Amino acid sequence: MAALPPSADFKKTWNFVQPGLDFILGTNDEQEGVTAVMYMSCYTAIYNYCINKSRSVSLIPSIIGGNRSSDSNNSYVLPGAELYNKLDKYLTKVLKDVLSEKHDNLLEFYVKKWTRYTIGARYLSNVFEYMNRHWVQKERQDGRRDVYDVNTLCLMKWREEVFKPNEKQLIGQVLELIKKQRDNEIVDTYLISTAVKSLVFLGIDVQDLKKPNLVVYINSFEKKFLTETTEYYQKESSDFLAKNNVVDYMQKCETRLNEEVLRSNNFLEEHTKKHLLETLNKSLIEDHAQEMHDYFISLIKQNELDHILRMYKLLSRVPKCLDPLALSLENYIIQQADEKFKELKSESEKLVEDQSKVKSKPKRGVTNVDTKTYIHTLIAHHDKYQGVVFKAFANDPKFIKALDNASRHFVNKNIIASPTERSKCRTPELLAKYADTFLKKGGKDVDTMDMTADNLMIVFKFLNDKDQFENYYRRQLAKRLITDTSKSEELEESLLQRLQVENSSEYTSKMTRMFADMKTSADLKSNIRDFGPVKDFNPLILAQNMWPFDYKEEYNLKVAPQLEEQFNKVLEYHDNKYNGRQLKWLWHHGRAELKANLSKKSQKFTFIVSNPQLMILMAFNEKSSYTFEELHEIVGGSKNVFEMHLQPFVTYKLLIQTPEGESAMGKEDTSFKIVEDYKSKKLRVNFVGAIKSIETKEEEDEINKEVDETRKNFLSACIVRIMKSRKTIKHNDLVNEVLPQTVSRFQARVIDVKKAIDYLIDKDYMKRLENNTYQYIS
Amino acid sequence: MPRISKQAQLQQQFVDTTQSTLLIAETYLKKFHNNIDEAVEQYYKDSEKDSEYDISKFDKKLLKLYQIYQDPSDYGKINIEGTMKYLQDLGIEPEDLESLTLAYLLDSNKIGIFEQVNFLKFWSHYKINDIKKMYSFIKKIHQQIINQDITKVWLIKKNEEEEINFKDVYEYTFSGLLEGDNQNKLDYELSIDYWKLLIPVLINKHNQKFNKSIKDQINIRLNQWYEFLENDYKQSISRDKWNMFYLFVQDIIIPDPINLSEYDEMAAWPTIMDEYILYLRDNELLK
Repeated sequence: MAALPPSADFKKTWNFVQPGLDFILGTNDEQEGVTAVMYMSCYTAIYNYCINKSRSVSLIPSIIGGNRSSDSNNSYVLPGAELYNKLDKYLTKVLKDVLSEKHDNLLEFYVKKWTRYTIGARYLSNVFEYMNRHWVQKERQDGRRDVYDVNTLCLMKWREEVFKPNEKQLIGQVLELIKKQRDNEIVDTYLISTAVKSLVFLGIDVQDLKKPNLVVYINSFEKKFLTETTEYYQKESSDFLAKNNVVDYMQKCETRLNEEVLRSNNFLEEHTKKHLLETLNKSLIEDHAQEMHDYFISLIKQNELDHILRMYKLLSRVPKCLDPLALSLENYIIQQADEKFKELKSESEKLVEDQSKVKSKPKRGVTNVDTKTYIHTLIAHHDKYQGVVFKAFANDPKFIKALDNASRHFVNKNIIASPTERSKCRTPELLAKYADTFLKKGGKDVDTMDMTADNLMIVFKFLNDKDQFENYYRRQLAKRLITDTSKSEELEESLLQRLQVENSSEYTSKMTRMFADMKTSADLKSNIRDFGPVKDFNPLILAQNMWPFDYKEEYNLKVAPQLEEQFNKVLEYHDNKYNGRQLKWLWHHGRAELKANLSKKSQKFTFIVSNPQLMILMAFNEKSSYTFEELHEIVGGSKNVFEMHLQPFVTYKLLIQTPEGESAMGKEDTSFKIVEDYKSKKLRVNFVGAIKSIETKEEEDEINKEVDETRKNFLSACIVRIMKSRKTIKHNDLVNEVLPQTVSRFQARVIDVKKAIDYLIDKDYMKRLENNTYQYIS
Repeated sequence: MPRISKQAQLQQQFVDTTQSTLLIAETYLKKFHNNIDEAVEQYYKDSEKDSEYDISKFDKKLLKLYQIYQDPSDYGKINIEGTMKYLQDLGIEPEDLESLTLAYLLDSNKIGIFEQVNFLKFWSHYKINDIKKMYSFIKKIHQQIINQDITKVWLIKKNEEEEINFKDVYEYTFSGLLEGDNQNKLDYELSIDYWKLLIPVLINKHNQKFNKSIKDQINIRLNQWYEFLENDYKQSISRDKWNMFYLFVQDIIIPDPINLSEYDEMAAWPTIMDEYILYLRDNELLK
């Protein structure tokens, strides 16, 4: 190795280092690497040059750096410009020489040369380290953006001299290789990855050399790559679907997606991944979502849950593609429910025909389906598709919602609940009946075992007319409570609790009050136990309007003298405790048991009787015979009621009527005499069952009236609340604000809201302005 | 001592204090919920405003005319018999629309009854004091009301000239037909009778715009409205429904009686209109 050149002589210095640089960049023919000695001498020569220059320059600043004469306060100018320019020109020549070498395949040649060049560039940069750190840095600090550290300079030169002129051909070759790989040919992936990686290195931000910059990668490669990907898969998927079915296609998609993700991980930048996936989702999935949607129905018909899950997973890559699928599911569930209920209807009709060969046709359209079967069919249908949503749709909220919508539809609207378009939905009534069946005593365990509160709550959730259910349920609860036929207090209360949690405490307030009344009445009972002849006297004090019972004037009985003290005790006790509340006896409810001594064989009979019947029989303790008029006078109540309750005694021959005959019964002077020796096979005789009841039809009207009234009040209150805060409001806005507020109770129709508005206008709570607008009147 | 209601006592007291009539007493007491002090005070205030209401200041001939018809037991008003005679003398049949116009102009609280104060004030304003002139005046105003969009008339209530139109007479009719203070709805039968009297005027106002066959169509729709009320709806008519029916005829029936295409079920019509449309559809009277 020659001796180091004089540090002040630029030309000698360059001539000294250039052979070393050739070695470092691998451009000499020997193709050898640089030795440590050579590397060190080059480094030292450049170092010396830079040091020396800086010293001399600081001594005679006016000689060099003419373009910076204004900068005279700056103590010195760093040397390097000359060296840097020389290096720049040198690199241009080196790279032009490289390109002129003969090569067969551009890509292979490019990759080979690039690999060697980038190694060299890093060493070269080290050789020029001193210049990098001082002159280059100073220049950049002074704002020159066209001066770079040597490594970057090398890359910039490569970009200009090698990459730019060959860009089109080179990228074309890379994409060609990728296409071959997609076509399952074996390719040298090293070529792809190195070439692609080179593009990342060539992206240089001249403002900030350290900042990674993908501009070359994106503009030269990624854009074309994505376009080609789209074209490739557009063609492939259309061709494939033309020859194969959707299930095969979906499997193909899965494979393709995996391959592409793998490729992207292996030799593409992270930046591309997102765009690549979007591209793939578009051409593989979104563009063919329609075919998949079309195929969905046949998959679900065959219960192919795995394939549906596959479809769901593919489509969920493009979330908007799920919406039509959810809608299909919703419609399918509804349509299946329709069929199921039609089946159930015809089965039950057949069953009824078989049981009674008598051709008494039921009311047109109305089918009497067993309550339990009906409710369990609703639940089974819901549960089935809940399973589908879980297994095939991963419990995706969109599909849970579709199931909810469908369930709401078929729970409220099916051929059994509402036979015609306008008929009122019977589900609330049937659900309440279902509850009553398993809540009351006396059912066979086998029958009620699988009837649960859980089932009830599922259907309840989907009821539109929850207020109607509350009404039916409350009436049956009332009967269970007053006749003491509830199976378990605990069960009753837990169910009430669940209804309250699911809806609101307002919803259950009346029933809660009923339970409270029962507890208070139990206290009452223990306090008055010991007064009077009646054992197990069980008077109930029930709050009006909470319980579904009304006082009936025609049942204003007169209490028999023997019972008077005991009955008065109730009033007295009550008045002491709750001053100011008024008690009325509901004689049409409640039962009494009488022990009767009416047999010569000294058999003791037990008679089960209604309250009017109790008063009738008590009278015969005094006297054995009365005329109709006398007896009626003693017992009280309307003539009809009295006669209705008297009848069973005559029918069962406890009282002898003279003259006989139904028509004579209600005549004033017809007489009734009690038998002295009563004959009956049974010791317990029930006289209540034989009372001709006329009350059944009334109850339904009563329920409808009560529900209508409550709804009207609810809507009016809602409207007034809104009007109060808004003062004036457009008709449509008002309707749209009111409707959602009713959902937890019932499904109000626009006409219901309008009726409430009419009512409020007539009552001067609000008035009309022009343009469909209302104003609040305070 | 005869039993006199508290109301009557207060009225007498009012009359004694103010030297006015029982009718005025009743009006003011009602207004102030039987607080006699406030009622009297207000009466004096009002009297200052229109001090011309002093019977003696009115034209003697007009007063004399009034006395022919006045209620013999309450000079403050003309009762139904008096009104019948008054109409007869004017040459107006009670079932003529002119009688409604007259009731409207004299601001009658209840159709069939005229208050003395209104009778005197109105005719004095127009300086009319004989029956013939009264008739020609009514006839003239009536023709304007039913033929023109706007008519200028001196209103007793406002004490000034106001622009009025037929709709004002229509809406007044509802108030004039109510019995007593607690009634706020009209039987649908009575409503129908008056609609049959009033609605043709509304239609005639649009007369020039359409030919006879459309006019027939409109009448078919109106008859269907009456049938709907009689056979289906069967409820009494509130003021809101009464007032809105005028608009319904004007905006929905007249523009397109065949298809009623202007009807929008999302608009704020009272439900009676919606039910009418539903009735037409159910009976296949409307597509």
